Formats: sequence, C-alpha cells, structure tokens
Amino acid sequence: MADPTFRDVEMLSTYLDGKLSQSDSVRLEARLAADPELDSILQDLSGARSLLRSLPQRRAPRNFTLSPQKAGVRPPLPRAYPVLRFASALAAILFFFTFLGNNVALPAAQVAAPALAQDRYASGGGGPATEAPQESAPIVGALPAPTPEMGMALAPPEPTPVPAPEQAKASSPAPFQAWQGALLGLALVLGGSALLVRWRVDRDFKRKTRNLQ
Amino acid sequence: MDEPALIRAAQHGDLDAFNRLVLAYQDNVFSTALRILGDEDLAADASQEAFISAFRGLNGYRGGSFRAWLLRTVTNACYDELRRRKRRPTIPLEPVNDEEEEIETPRWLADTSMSPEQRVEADELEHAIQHCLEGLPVEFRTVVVLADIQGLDYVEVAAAVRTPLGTVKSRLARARLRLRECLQGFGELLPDTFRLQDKAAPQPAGRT
Repeated sequence: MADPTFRDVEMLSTYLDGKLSQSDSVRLEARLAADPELDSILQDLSGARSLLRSLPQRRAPRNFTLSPQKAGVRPPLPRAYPVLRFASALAAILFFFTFLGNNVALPAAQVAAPALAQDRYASGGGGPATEAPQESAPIVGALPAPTPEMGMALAPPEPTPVPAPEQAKASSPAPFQAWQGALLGLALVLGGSALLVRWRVDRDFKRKTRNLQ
Repeated sequence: MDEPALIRAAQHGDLDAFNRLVLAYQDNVFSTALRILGDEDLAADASQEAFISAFRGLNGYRGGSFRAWLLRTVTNACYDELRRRKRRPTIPLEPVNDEEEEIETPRWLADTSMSPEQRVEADELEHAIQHCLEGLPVEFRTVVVLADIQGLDYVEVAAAVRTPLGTVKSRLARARLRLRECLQGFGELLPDTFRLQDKAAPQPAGRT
C-alpha cells in the first residue's frame, strides 16, 4: 500500500469538511476502509479540528463602537452652504481682479502714454524719427548750403516739459469705487454667512452625538 | 436585528445603525484578531481599526455574509498589525507583570462562567491551543482561524485572505496536521473526547 501523500492529506481535510465531490468521496472512502494509516490521518485532522472548534469565543474587552470623530463623519450641511461658499469666492475673485486692474494695469498705461507722446514730439512732430533723414538724404548735395535762417527752421523745437502735477496725478492709484466696496462687502458677508452656517451645524451635531463620544 | 436594513442605513452614513452592527459582531471580530495576533492589546487595536475601515469602506460591501465581510476586514487589519510588529519586534508574546515575569495564568484567558478547577483546565487547554496556533506561519494560522474557529466556508476564507481556493484547502490541511503534532505535546491537558492518539503523527510522503 502506497504511503499517503500531501495530496491525500488535502483530500482528507476537504472530505472532513464535506467539500469533496461525490465521486472523489466514494473513492476516498474505499481507500480509507483498506488503509488504516490513511484513516489514522483522518482521525488526527478531525481531532485537531474539534479542538479548534472547542475554543471559546473571547469577549471584546471594550465596545468598539465608533464616535463621529473616529469614523470621520461630518454633519450633513444645508444646501445653502455650498451656494454661499461659491458666491463668496466668486465675489472675492471679482473684487481682486477689478482692484488689480485699477491699481496696477491702469496707472502703468497712464505712465506709458505721456512718454510715448513725448517721443513723437521729439522726432519732429508727427512721423517716426528715423523716416525724415532717409527721405532727405538723396537731395542733400543738390540743395544750396543751409543758411542760419534755414538751420533755425530745420532745428527741432525744444521739448515742452510735462507739468509735474499732471504726472503725479497719472501715477496715483485710481480712487476706490463704490461698486468695488460693495463687491468686497458682499464677499465678506457671504463668506461670513457660510462660516456661521458651518459653525451652527457643527455645534448642533456635537450636541446630538454627545452620547457617542 | 434587521441586519440588511442596518447595513443599508449605515451605507447612507447612519453611524447609530453601524454601531448596532459593531455591538453584534465585536466579539467575533475581537476573537478572530486575538487568535491571529495572540495579544489582547494588539487584537483590540486591530479590531478598532477594522471597524473604522469597515465603516469607511461599507459601500464596497456587495451583499453576502456581512460577518464574513467583517472578518475579511479584521484579517487585513491583523496583517497590517503583524507588519508593524515585524518592524518593531519588541512586544512580548506572553503577558508579563511589572517585574517582566511571565504571568502563569494570563488574565486574557480568564472566563468567569466556570468553577476554578474547570477554569484552570480550560485556560491551560486554550493556552496550549493558542501556543500551537502561534507556532504556525501566519498564512496557515489565518486560514485555520477563519475556517475552523470562525466557521467560514472555503470560498469566504479564500475571499478573506485573497488566495485561490486550492491554496486555502492546502493551507488548511497543513495547518491541521501541524496543530495535531504540536498538541501531542499537551496530551494530558486534552479532554477525553479530544484525546489524540499517543503516537507520532503519520508523516505523509513528500512532505516539505
């Protein structure tokens, strides 16, 4: 009679649990009747299983119920909360960009505009400064020598200085518009409302779940 | 207890409903963790972690045995705990007193429903079985705890340990055989009905 293999032990263990197919069970039972060693292994497996099944269920040393904090549960928020939060954020963003536009982009443009006008004026009153010499170059030799009067007429006029008070006015920040103030106020009110709603919901939730802490 | 209704409510975030399920299954979960880990404090930690994970992952429960699903969760928590313990191997396997001496009859084996003599015998038998369980590789131990102590069927055990069915059968057979060999050393503790044969365990051919 062949020595039992681990395949046999696995079959015996499965048979013990009633999970072996009908045909395999019939074949194994025939072998068990003829092979005392195989039957001895079956008794061993059965004894070990019985001992394990006899182990008592241990009682939990404490309750494992979850508090809202442990479970990571947050109270359900009213539907107005996300609307308030979104509106507050939107108002804040709008305020930020309009404020940025008025105080950074606009003064820069106002500073650049007088400088450009000054350049144009310095080049001879109108067209670009580089165009005039190119146009006049071919006829320089054909013309009579310039007289002092002509020289006076061709000389560029002295640049007119921009008055200092106007420059100061152009570079100063734009006044705080009333509608910008309203936008800022709206952002603050909506944001504050969202925080208030959240605080009240959290407080009520804590009161209700105090017995679970 | 209307378990399906409680599960549905818990899936919708009802913590009270979930806590009723916790109270119903916490002994099962703790007992499983204790048999796998062999330490009451670690088992309590793993059980608590398992219930937290279960609540957060409750929408992943797709029907079937809720108990088996919970035991799967606690098995994972035990594996995590064992991995942590492997990184910090300083936890004693036996309870010790203030002088670092092993406690003869540990508190965690006590059961107040027996006479003192019965309790001593039961404690010693349980201690012997737990000792033999802890001698098994963890993958064998987990399978035998889930199948033989908690009574899960093969399919549930396979799902719990994420292992093919054939592997579960093989591990269970090997675990039972090894336990049999180990428990032979505690022959005098075993009750008559479970008294194992006083002989060397048969050695199947090709054993590794």
